[in-house]
Amino acid sequence: MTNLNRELPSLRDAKYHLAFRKSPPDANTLDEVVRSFPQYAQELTEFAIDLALDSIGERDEPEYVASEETSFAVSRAISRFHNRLYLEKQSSESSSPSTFGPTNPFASMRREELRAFADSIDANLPFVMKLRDRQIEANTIPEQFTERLSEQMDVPIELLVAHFQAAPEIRPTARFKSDQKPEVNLKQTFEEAVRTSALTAGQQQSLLDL
Amino acid sequence: MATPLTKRYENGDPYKRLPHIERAINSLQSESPENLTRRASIRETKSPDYIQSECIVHLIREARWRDDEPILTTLLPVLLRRCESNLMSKISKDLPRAEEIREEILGRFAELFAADGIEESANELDFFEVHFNQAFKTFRIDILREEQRKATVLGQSKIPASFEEAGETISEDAFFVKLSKEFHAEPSQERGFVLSEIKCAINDLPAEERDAVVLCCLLGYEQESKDPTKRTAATICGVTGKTIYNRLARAARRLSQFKELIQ
Repeated sequence: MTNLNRELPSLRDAKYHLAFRKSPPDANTLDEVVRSFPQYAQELTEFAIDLALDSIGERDEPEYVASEETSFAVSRAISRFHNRLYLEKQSSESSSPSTFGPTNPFASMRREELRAFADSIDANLPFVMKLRDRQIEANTIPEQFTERLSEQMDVPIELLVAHFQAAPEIRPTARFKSDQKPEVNLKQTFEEAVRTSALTAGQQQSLLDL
Repeated sequence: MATPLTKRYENGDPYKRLPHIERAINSLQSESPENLTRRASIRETKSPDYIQSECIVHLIREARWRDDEPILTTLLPVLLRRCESNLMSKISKDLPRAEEIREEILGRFAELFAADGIEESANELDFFEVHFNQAFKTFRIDILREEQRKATVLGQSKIPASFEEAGETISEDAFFVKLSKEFHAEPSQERGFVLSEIKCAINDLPAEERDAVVLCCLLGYEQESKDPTKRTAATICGVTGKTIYNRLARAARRLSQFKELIQ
């Protein structure tokens, strides 16, 4: 089974892993997490010390209760949210429209990886690109096919379903003859996609038999 | 149905929401905006209509993906107000720049939603859908430490090397055994007061002494070991076992006022 969608964890992620394992942590837990992330040994140990100190005298932290009024600090935080959102939207308009919405499980695959993946499911690159760019109607994709993809990519089946159900997208690297980016509203059925992707007759048959 | 989380445990298994959170999200997705607004304003945590923070995180993320401004405007302030109340209790006003640090934590938390799904902070909010309080605690501690590091005055907590190895021989083992037991006992109201006092006192110790106390008494590391492959307080701090012993001895003297209070 290939795992094409696994990312390298950040230091912050490693800290979440530690805090979620056991809070307050103990020596065994910390040592285990340090073995998983030896590059962060010092930072994780410092964090464990802070976490242990913070947890003195408490077992389960109670549910946070909201203050009644929106304070100046909350208003400032909301402003920071909007400012950052504006910046992210601006940069996404000039780079990738696919950054909004459910995670695209194909997003991290480069062309060679897409091609290798296509081989592994007995398809070809154009067909896999249609899957990646959500150009196939979700409700026409056979369940068995989605299950096969999920197993092959090692991603949850629900993530694939959510991906296929989202709006189709145009890759930021695509080139257009027109000055304006074309809109993508139309999706193909699974059968149409199979028949129009230059698949061999045998490949088409095995996909349509699902 | 809620979109599955993409963050993974060290072994590669994906993180999952708790079943009751998953159910709550599924039911909230069909709520009308009016009802969602009403329920979000409930502050009584025992109310059956109370919306847990994990669910609010999910709803805000969804709203942000859909560009659903009304839901964002309703839910983000509620979540931030909850976080603010936690920060008010966790970041003492006695801390230098306390207000500024609280604001920084709150602001950076809000920014997580704006940058959700984008590159380096990609899906960090997954952790907040699994266990909000634990995730926020991690986030808070991380930024607090970062802010404190920025503000650290060099030399403030340094102890002269000559004093390090001064050969203090008074055993304080019994004190720390008691202290360790106290830390790991079930919390009670009266013990809570004593512990919060001890916590402040440990926080005020010089960094080397504080680390030695926490590593040995809270985390349970041995001061040193004959096994060179074993992580101990000494190997972690990069000093000898004797130095750890001395740091503990000094810490014990500074904390001696609590000797009578712990069992």
